Amino acid sequence: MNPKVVSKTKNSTKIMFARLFLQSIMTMKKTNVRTNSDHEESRRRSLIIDTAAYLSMARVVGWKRTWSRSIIFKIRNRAIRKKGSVKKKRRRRVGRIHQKNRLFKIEKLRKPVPGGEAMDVCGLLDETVHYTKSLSTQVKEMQTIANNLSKYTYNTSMLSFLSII
Amino acid sequence: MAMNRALLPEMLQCTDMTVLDRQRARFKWQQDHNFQQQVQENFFGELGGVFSVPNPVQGFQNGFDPVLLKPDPEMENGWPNFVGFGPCGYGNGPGFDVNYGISRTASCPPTVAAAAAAAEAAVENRELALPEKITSLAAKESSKKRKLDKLQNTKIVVGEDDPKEKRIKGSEEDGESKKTEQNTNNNKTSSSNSNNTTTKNKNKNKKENSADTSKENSKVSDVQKPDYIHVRARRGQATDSHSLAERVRREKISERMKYLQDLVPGCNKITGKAGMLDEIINYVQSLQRQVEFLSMKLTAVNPRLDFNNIDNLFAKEEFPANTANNNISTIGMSSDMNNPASFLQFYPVQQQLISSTGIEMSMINPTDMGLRRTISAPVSLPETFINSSCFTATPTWDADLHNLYNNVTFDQGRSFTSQPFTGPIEASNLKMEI
Repeated sequence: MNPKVVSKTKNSTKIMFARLFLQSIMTMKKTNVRTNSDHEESRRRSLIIDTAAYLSMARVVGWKRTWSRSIIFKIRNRAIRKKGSVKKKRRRRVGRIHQKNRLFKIEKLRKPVPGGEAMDVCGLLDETVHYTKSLSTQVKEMQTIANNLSKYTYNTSMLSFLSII
Repeated sequence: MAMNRALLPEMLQCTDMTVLDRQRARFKWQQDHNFQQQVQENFFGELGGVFSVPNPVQGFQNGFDPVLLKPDPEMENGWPNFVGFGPCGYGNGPGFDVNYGISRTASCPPTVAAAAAAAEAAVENRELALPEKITSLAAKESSKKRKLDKLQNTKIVVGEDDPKEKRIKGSEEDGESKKTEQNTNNNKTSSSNSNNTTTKNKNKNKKENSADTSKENSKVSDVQKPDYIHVRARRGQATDSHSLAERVRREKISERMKYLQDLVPGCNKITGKAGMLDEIINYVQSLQRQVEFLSMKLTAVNPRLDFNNIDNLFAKEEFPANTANNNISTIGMSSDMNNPASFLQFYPVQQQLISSTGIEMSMINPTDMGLRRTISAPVSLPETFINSSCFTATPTWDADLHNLYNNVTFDQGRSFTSQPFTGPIEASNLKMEI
């Protein structure tokens, strides 16, 4: 149960991610506020789970990476903004964009990679490599979780179906 | 190059002759060399030939004529000299004036004697007035020939310099470039014989001064070079500090791109960085969309389960009280009932961790999922989720299948994390790894 022992290995990062993800889902569930419609509710939930997934991924990676830092900060700031309802719109433009072909493509890469707005090309590519890796790990992990949970659901739905019949 | 080598033995033999003969032979050699160099200029678009020429010459000399060479100082000075002259050769391209000036300032360290610096500055001013061709040729020639002439001139008596100069003036028709070259040779000797330096410098015209300064620069760069250049330039590459840094940066970027190419599936076939970047962006975005979809899927799963299972996952170890507090419904009941079943389903896998069971599971999984979808969707899910899942179902199913088939053994280990018995399973994983 000690994740720090195996923190170097890759498998442990997956386990860590799964644990953090489930934990964060649980904590979110505890602070649930029921809305009226099912539609709203489910959308909100999916958003929350989405956020939880990203946050847990960032937490697994820690503070050493730019993208994880930016994710954590973004989510934290969002939470603070929601609490205090302080709307501050800050736009930061960094540098001038080179309009060369390849570099222009790289500018497009800044958007999907979190925290990529204020980075040089080298660092951006570095972050992209790491981000892509951990994102793919996360997707796999979430798929496994969803599969297992859906297996539960399948069984439950089957049971309920049978009971209805 | 081959011609150079063929000509060199003549040179070396000439050392036995009288001084005059030697001079004549050298002139011949120079003429040929000049011609050849122009040919080389045509050959090498980048004028990279500047680098490629002197090397074999030097090596040849070192190998065959140790007496003339005085190996120790030559070896020290030889290579850095050429490297130091790199920017000059590089500057021969378009926009020569600018490049030349830059390279000079770059290669000129702060440690130069004040007098030398002043002289250089003056020379530079004069040099700007000169036509490009002459200076560039002079620089190149000097960089090539310096070695040989130095060898010879050091052996020649001081008195020799005068006839040589006369000869240069006599051979005006040979071309200005050669003249400047000769002057550099004289400068070399003068540097070795410090008595004559001042008078000669006074007598010499602008061209030789330019050559002189370039020579000084090269010497200076000999001393300074190891301090700030850690990256070796290959043949024909610029040794400017800016271009070196740029090269390092480009190499870094291409390395990362290569890594990304390995990481992103289907990126191997694409050539060109723009296409690769497009693919990478698409991949990252698709992964993000996948996360979104999975979260939706989890949401679709969760409201019915109402987090009972997830609670169970941790409850047994951390929050034993929480499970009781959850709202109990038929679904909750069934999930509770479901738990042992799933546990039974997984336990043999945990014990054995054999891939065959994994395959079974993966075989079972998709059908299960499909069944669940068809059955459970109309019962309790909100409409939006049905729609969305129907839209995005097909690609992710493939991904699911792919995932399951690929990482059978590993997924076994990971899938237990969502089971109630995370602790022992992690331990077993540990053991497996160790």
